[in-house]
Amino acid sequence: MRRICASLKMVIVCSLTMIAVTGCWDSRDVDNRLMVGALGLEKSTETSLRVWFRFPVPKAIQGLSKKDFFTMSQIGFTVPDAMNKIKYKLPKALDASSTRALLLDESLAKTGINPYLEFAIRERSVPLDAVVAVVRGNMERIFTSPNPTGELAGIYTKLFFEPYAGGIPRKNKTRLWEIYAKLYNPFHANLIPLVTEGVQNSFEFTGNAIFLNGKIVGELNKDESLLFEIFTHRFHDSEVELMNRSDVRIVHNHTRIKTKLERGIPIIGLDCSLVTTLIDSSRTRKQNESQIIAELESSLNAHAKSMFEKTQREGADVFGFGNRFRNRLQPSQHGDWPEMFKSAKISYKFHIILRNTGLEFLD
Amino acid sequence: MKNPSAFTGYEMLAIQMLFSGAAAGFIYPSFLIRSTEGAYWIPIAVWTAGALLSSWLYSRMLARLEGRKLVSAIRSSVGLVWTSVLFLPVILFLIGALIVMLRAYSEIITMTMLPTTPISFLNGMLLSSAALALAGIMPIIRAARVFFLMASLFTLALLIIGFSDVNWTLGTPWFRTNGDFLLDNRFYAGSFLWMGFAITSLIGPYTMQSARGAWRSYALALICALPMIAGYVYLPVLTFGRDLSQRLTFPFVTKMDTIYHYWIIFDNLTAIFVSVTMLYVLLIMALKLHALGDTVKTLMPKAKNGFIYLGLFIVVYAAATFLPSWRELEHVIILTVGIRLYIMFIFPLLGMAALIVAQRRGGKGRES
Repeated sequence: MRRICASLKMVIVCSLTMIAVTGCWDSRDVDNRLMVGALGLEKSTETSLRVWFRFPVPKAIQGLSKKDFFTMSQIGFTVPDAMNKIKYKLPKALDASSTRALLLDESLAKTGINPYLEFAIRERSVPLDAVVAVVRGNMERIFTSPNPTGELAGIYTKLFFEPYAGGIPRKNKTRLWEIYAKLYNPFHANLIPLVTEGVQNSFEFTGNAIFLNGKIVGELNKDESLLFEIFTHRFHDSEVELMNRSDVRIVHNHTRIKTKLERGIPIIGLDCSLVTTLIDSSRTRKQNESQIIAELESSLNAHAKSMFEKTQREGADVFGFGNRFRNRLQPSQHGDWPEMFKSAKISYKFHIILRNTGLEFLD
Repeated sequence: MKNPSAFTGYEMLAIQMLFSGAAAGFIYPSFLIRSTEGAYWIPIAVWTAGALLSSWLYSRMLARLEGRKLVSAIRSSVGLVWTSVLFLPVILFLIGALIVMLRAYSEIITMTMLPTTPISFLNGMLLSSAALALAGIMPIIRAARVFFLMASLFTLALLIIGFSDVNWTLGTPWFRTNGDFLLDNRFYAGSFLWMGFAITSLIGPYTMQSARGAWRSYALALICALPMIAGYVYLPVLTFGRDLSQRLTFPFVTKMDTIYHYWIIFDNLTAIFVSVTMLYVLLIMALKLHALGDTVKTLMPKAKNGFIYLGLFIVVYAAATFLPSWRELEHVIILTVGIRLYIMFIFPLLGMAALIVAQRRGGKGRES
């Protein structure tokens, strides 16, 4: 009797474990999914947007088309609405959880990106580490032409910005979560890379778009972007600075930031040390070491001046200096920071060391 | 000779660390971040002091047990009726804590990984905790030792990786507070994190020495858990800033979502975090169920063990399944603040009074 009882218990336990393996409400086989590589958001009418989807197609199911991706677009009032509607056209389940890149059309970015990004955080449908860029030009061409270097959809854009691949400091890799967090932070405005539809290529980097309250209000050019990277500790690896008569490589930098509030006016002091090496000197007009350093310093000063003029004019603190003033302001004053930033006194000083002049002596 | 305590020092440490892992990772950070505009470590420090005080009161009470269990000692001192009155809030608290922990964990899975899987199915995980609780305290302790080793390593790794993309200026103000959290009910709602000692007090016999040893282990566990608790609160704030962190349901889960490194082979750190948290939650639910079952058994000695645990399983499962939404869950946590504060600070005083009265009565009885 005891034996029967024990076997009965065993049977019950085994049946209970079977319940666990049947519970697969959210399972979808990988070959029944269409994974989104890149998403593009474009303004369609005043109230709607067109969402571009680029799906990589694995070799095994390419068939006769021999194309390693296919592209579709869908108009909707919101991104989830478009994602929902595109399912009417797709034979497999839409899976945006592998999206590597999110491209925003410039016209959409000018009217405001705030309403279009919430779904990513709330529903966790698009990865928060996807890279984001603003696109100037024809989104359709970028999404429908094959990648020149053969990478899968989405991977190309990601590699374009990643420091371990084609990313250089000026490109200012920006991820989705950074943009979303700054939309809520009154002390830190967004700066999103701007790419233009290319002639030989999908797109090329042209600068960085300055955002205030989710809308484009200005643009930093490539050289100003380099200064932005140096001042915000985002500088990685090395970057080449081209000057009139010689080219130097910035291999290391360190910036100390000092802030204080004097009679309601923010005072921000930047002290920047740069270690450089010479990669090319002009043959037409000889320069010595101190002349090269002086030229680099004046060029950096000029870029910094124009960069701060552009950002301060709009009250867009893309550098996040405001975070250092949070402690000194009452919570009710936090919203005033963009206005305070306009009148901030920003000073900067460069200490440049030319570490070596390469494998050839400089006379 | 039989061990006068259910736990050794190391086991107590492991269980208390697991308790912190189960309670601190998902509900607590959002409560704390929304409770103050000032520095976050100050409310954490205030609660740490509160937890040390509460556990010290408990240890003074346990020191008077003389090798008995808390419930049976109080029952033999003040009788069944008064013991039931004294322990009713404890039973309600444990049932409430189980419901909240189970439903909160099911919700975290729904929000992050399995959006369409029914809550009623996910709540079925209580079955394994109930089975572990029914098996007795020794299997729970053995499981705790294994889970502690596994889960603490993963948690440590996740916290270290969590330092990527941290901007220290976002954490300001570091030292300023106006005490606003003292007037915010979410500060008190976070009290569940600091009650680990109250739960282990209900399990197993204690003597003066073992109570002192248990308190020391608890204090050590609390100190070891503080970096973890601070990490769960501060890492999202240092990444997203205060303003977005206040709007996030599970700030640390969203923080895990943002991490990308070329050298990390796992694409989805959130899934690892949620799985590790499951280890914590399974074990702590088993521990709470066992404490509850033990208490009910002493109050109703004739009831069969199996039926007690079956009854508790049905009550907790049903309540956790029928809670309509996350907001309701938060309300339950806020509404039960009073009961938790009673258990932390008043219950040990009342228990101690009951034991002292009985001791005096016993002493007088012996004298006459």
